[in-house]
Order: sequence, then C-alpha cells, then structure tokens
Amino acid sequence: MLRVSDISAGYDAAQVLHGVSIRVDAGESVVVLGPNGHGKTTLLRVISGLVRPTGGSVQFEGEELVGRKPEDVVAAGIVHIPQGDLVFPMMTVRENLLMGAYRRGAWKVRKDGLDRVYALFPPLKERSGQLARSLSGGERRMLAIGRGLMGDVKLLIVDEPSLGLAPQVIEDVYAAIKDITREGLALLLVDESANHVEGMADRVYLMETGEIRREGNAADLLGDEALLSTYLG
Amino acid sequence: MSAVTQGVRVREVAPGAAPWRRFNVGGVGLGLAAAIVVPWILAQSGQRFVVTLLVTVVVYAMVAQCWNLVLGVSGIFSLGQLVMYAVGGYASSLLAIHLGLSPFLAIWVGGLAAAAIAVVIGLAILRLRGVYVALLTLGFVMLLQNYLGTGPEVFGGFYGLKSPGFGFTSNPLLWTYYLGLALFVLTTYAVWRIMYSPVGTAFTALRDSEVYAVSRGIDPFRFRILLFAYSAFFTGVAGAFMAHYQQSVTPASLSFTLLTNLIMMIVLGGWGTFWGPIVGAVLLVFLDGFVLKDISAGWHALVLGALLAVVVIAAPEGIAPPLGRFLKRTVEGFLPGEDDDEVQDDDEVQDDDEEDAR
Amino acid sequence: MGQLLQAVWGGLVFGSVYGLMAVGLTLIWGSLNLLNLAHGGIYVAGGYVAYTLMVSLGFGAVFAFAGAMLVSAALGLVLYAVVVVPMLGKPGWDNASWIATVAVSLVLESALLLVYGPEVRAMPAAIDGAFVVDQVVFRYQAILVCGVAVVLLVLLHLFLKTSRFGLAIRAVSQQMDASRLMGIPVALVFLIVMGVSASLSGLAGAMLTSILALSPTAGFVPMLKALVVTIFGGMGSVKGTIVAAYIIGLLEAFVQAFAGVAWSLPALFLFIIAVLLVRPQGLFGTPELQRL
Repeated sequence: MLRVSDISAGYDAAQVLHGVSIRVDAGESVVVLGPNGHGKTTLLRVISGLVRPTGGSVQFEGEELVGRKPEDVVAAGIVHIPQGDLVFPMMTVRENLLMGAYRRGAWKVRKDGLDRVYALFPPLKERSGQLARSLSGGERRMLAIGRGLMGDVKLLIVDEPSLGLAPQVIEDVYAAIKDITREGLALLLVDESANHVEGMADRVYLMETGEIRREGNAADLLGDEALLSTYLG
Repeated sequence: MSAVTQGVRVREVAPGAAPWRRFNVGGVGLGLAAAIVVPWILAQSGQRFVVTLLVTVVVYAMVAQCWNLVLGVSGIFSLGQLVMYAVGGYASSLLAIHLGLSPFLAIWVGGLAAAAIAVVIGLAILRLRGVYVALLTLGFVMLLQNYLGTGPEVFGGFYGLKSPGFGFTSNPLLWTYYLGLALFVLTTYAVWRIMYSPVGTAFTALRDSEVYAVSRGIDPFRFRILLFAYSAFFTGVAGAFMAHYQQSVTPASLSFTLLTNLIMMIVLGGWGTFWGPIVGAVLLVFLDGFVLKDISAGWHALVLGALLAVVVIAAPEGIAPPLGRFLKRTVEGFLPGEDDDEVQDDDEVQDDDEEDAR
Repeated sequence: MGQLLQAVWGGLVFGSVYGLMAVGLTLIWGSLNLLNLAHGGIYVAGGYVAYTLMVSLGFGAVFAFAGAMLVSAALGLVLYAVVVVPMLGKPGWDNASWIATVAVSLVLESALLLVYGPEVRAMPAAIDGAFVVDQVVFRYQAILVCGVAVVLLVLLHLFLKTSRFGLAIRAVSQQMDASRLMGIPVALVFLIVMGVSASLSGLAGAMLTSILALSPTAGFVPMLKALVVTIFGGMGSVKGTIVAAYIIGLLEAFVQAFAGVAWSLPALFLFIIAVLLVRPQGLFGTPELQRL
C-alpha cells in the first residue's frame, strides 16, 4: 500500500535521513521506534509532503507522492496527525473537526464524520462549542486524532501520540488508536518507547541516526529486551 | 517577535579574532584623505553643487547608519528615527537662538536632547512587538510634526526656526563640509565600534532569537533602550548640524518623504550591514542630485519605488555586500600577493566567502 | 444635542469605512504575517477607478463600485505575485515584506499621480441629497456607505464562521502546518485573502472619497487609522477589528466635533499608545507569549 524507498532528506546543510525504506501493507499497523531527534518526524513529514526529500521515492497504491503538495497527499487518503498540539486554538472543537473534513467529498458527509468521532471520543462531544485552546492536553490529542479521522482515510499516520501526556491519558489515547485500526485502517505510528505499542503493532522498524537498523514482526522484536535497550536506551 | 526574525545577513566573526577587529589604517587613511582633498579641489574649481551634495551625504549617512543600528542590526521596527533628528535640530537651534550658545556646542546638547527623548519613547514602546513598534513610532513622527507645526509659538509654526549658522568666514561651504565629515567619522566609528563589540553581538542575538538571548542573560528591554538612546544621540547631532548648516529647521524634517528616502538608503545599501547605509546614502543623494534632477515628482517617486521594490525582493542583501566583493576582487587583481588592502571591506568579503562555502 | 447626534452618526460612518479597510489588514496579517502598507494605495486606486467610471465614462454608481472592487482585487493579486510569492518563507520575511509593500505603494501612488495629476478631485456622490432630523444632517451617500459596509462586514463574518473556505482561512492563520495536513490549499487561501482584502479596501476608497477628497496620497491617513483599528482590535482577530473600527470611528468623530479636525490623528495615536501600555495584545487579541 505505502512503499517508501531509499528516502534521503534534511534541513539546510544537515542531512537527517539516509536512505530510509519502509512499507505498510493494507490493513496493517506498523510502528517505527527510535530515540528522539533521529529522523522519525522528518520521515513522516516527507510522506505527507511537508518536506521535500533529496532522493528516493514514496509510492502510495502505486502512485508517486514525492514532489506532490500536502493537499494531494491528503486527497490520496493519507492523513498525518502531527506531533504536539497542532490544533487550531481559536476555533471551537467542532470547527476543528470540520477542518479535518476540508476535502470536498468529506465535507458533504461531515455530519456522519462528526457522529463517528463523537462516538469514539465522547469528551469531544461535550466540549464541541469550546475553543480548542481551553482543552486539556489529552483532549487536545483526541481532537487532533479525531480531526484526522474526519476525511476519507486509508492510511493514518500518527506522530508520537504519547508525547507530554500523563500515563493514564496515554493509555486512553492508545486504546482509541487501537479501536480505530480495528475498522481495517492501515496505521503508521512512530514513538520513542516500546511501552505502549505492544498488542497493537503488526510489524516494527527500529530507527537510529536517520537509518533503519532492524525490521521484524512485532512479536519477535518487542520481545527482545536486549535489542530494544540497545536502540532505545 | 513573531516567526523568525533572522536578518537578511548574519554577521560572523572569524574564530579567534577579537570581536572588534583591527582595521587597515592605510585603507581608512586613504579614504579619509580623498574625502578631504577631493571636495577642496571641487570647491576650488567651482563645483560647489557637488560639495553641497556631499554635505547632504554625510548628514543622511549619519542618520541612516544610526537607524540601521536600530532597524537592521537589532531588528527593532522603529520608524521614529526622524523624531530624534528633528529634536536634535530644534533643541540645538533654540539654545543657540535664546541662550546664544555657540552652534559648535549646541549640536552636542541637541544630541543629548534626542537621546533623552529616545529613552522616553523607548520606555513606552520597546516592550511591544514589531508591528506595534512600527505603527507607534510612526505615530510619534506624525504627532511631533503636528505639534511643532501648530503648537507653541516658540517652535515657529510651519516655517520653523531660523537657526544661526556656524559662522565660518572664509569658504563657509567647504568648512561646514569638513565639520560634517568630522561628525560623520565620529558617528561611523561609534557605529562600527558597537556593531563589532560584545554589545553588538548581543543585539544581533536578540534580533535573531529573543528566547535564546534571554536565556543567556541578556535583558532585551535594557539593551534596546540603551541602543535606542545611543543611536538617537548621533542622529540628534546630525539633525542639529543640518539645522545650523541650512540655517533653518522646520516640521518638514519629519516628512514622510524624508522617512522613505532614508529607509531606501538603508535597504538599497544593504540593511544590517556596516557599509550599507553609507553606500545607500551616497547612491541616493547623487542619484537625486544628478540622474533624477529634472524629472517630475511622479516619475521620481516611480523610479525610486521600483528600484526599492526590485532590490528588496530580488536582492535583499542590498548593494554594499556585492560591491564589496567586487572591489575586493578588483583590488586583488591589481595587487597580486597583497591580500588585505581594505580590511573593512574584507570583513564583508569573508562573511560572503563563508556563506558561499556553505 | 444636535452636535452630539451628528458626532455619533459621523462615528458610525467613519467606523464602517475603517472596518472595511481594517478587516483586510487583519486578514492579511493573520494568515501571512504581512503588514500590508500598500493597503492605502489600493484604497486610492479604488477611488480613481470609480471616479473614472462615473465621471469620465458616465457609468452608474453600482457599476463604478463593482469596477473599483475588481481592479483592487486584481491589484491585491499583483501584490501577491510580486511580493508574497518570491519572498514568503525566506529569512527576513518579517522585516523585508513590509518594506516591499511600501515600495509597491510608492509605485502605485506615483503611477496614479502621473495619470491623474496631483490636484484634489471631488468624487460625486452615488446618491445626492440629505435629510435633516433635529438639526442632524444625514447625507444619503453616508447612509449608503454605512449600509454597504455593515452588510459586507456581516457577510464576511458569516463567511469566516460557517463556510468551508472561510473556516479554512481562519485555520491557516492559526496553524499553518496543521492546515496543510488537513489538505487545505494554503497558497489558494493566501491568494483569496489578498484579493478579498484588496477589494474591500478599493470599495472603501470608492465610497469614502465622495465624502473626503480624492488625491494620489489620500490613502495614507485612512490606512494609518485602519492600522490603529487593527491593533486596537488585536491583530488577526476579525471580530475584534469590527468592534474596534466603530469605537475608533466614534472617538474620531467626537474629537473632530469638539476639538477640531487637526486633532483627529494625534488623538487616535495617543489613544492607541495608552491602550497598548495597558493591554499590549489589543482588545480581543491573545497574549503573544505562547508564540515566542
């Protein structure tokens, strides 16, 4: 479904990614693990068209995405939920969600989308009229994820959903992501620790200094304590 | 300051070099000698018009340099430099008229008055963000213009004040020019000194990343007020000099035309650079005096506006840096083996070399 | 009493026009982080286009206003092409961008000077005449200005609040990266914002120059006042800008009525300086700290 081959990318003089290749098959949940600052976010930004790679290709359902604008990538069915609280602070929860349905097809069925997201995250329904900046950290994360689900998603990309959240809230967020993938959606998630991805990931990549070091079934890799501590500390 | 306020150019100091680098005495001496001798020859051969242009150049170059210190080097969006310019002119003239103070002394008091006003304005605005500073300083310019034109009689209304001249008896134009040149050299040294000192580095750090600078213990507010007053002092001196030279000071010294002209000098020359405002002042004054002398006001503004647009959009580093590189290459071509003919130019050139290398 | 009512009415008219100009400034500032100092030039251009259509070519007022809006919108797109496209995202955008708009404004105003000459022109009113109630003069033109402005401001507010594209404009001005990840075409948003904001400024010029005067530099002072409004409202907040426009308009009308016309601009500046000392983020703006 998604085939990233030999991607190199960087900012100004600093090269961040050195020939990264990964793939995500239909319906599969793939997790990329690696320490902070080793290129995971850059990889996701390349896929969603925010960063133009210096080499390599990104193919989604046989279509080349390198060189396309972010809006084309969204149109192809890839939704990227960015790291941190990139919600629209001065818009209401409902308006934030509606922006997830910006694409014309999704906009027509935005009511259904809202119902689906509200069912998944009941707190968002309660707060639908509140400004996003008045939400708690966990609610904002839910809003960001819910907003990503408003469109016609085939592949959901999530960037470190646990960042900066309290442990209890982290579990809620991961539980919600697990729920979403049960609907048959493909998932590409990056994180810096293996703690929360067990039972959710089908396959795992280990990334370090901009290169993929290991690849394998989640069951094999996540069970190997020695290996994980080597790469993730 | 929102988003990135990286300047058009980032000054870098070679590792290991003292922040204020030794400059080439020969090069500067040569330039000074030319600035002294050439106008003398011009005055002798009846080219008085060119000398009057040169007087204008030194005054505007002083103001542009000081403004560039505020706008380009430390990234404060102030449009209020003309307030200091006018305050200098009015204060000095009032002292000379009413207290009979010699203009040679009064100009310094004019500078101090301008610096004092700068502190007051700075207290009001320098805690605010960029756009607000731009609007409010522009507001001060218009408020002062209005006040001087319609306010107390002591300011002389729209016709302003008749300032006493310097009183040179023989060859007054040339001697006035020499006085202006001396003030220009002093201002230039002061600007150069602050740009290439630890204090100057602090300003640039504040411009480029306020958060970082604050975390390194720089108090932005105090530094900005200090710089504001410092640049205001020399601007005030320039305004005072201009008033006694023209033997008049009016609210027109706060006109929007003069304001855009000075901004043009800074931007055309290359803002945030040391040579930019000087090159810009020379260029614009001579362009005005010769090339654009006989065209109508409409075409005049059109040409200058288009020139500004082209430079700021297509060549944001301005004219001075490429000119410096060109001179350096030319000089090297003539003097094989001798590497530093003009070290001050060399400052610019080295930066550019580093940039090219990256 | 009559003087008081007259001042209130004058304030509503001024406020309407400042609102039209200021929402454009605030939209551009919010989405592009651009202080557009060519806004006054576009205002005057709108005035001259309407003047040409009405006086020289004899068209009706509606046609003249529509023409002014179209040409101004085109100027906004030109500004986008020559300033925003080559400069956006480059280092130094904050500083260099507004200087570039000053340059464009100089070119525009001097071109108008070359075409129309420096003399001050009187733009005819779209509807002549007035009626008097209790010594207060209501000119039909002023009523028209007020009415059109209010309708447009309400429409703009609804557009930004409910329509798909309007929401997208607000989204881009709040979080650019997230907007792009939602599939919002950011470049198109910028283009529309520039066009809409310029056309509103042009319309303000077309309508107000029949009350004030029309000359190549006549846009400078209205632009400054619109800037004061924008800052007072909290840069980037459309609702705040509309409210601020009427407050500033009323303030100005009262100053003019009771202290004289010469005091209107100084009074506004003193007012905004005082406001910013107390509340640096303006009336409805959010504190800037989190943006650092």
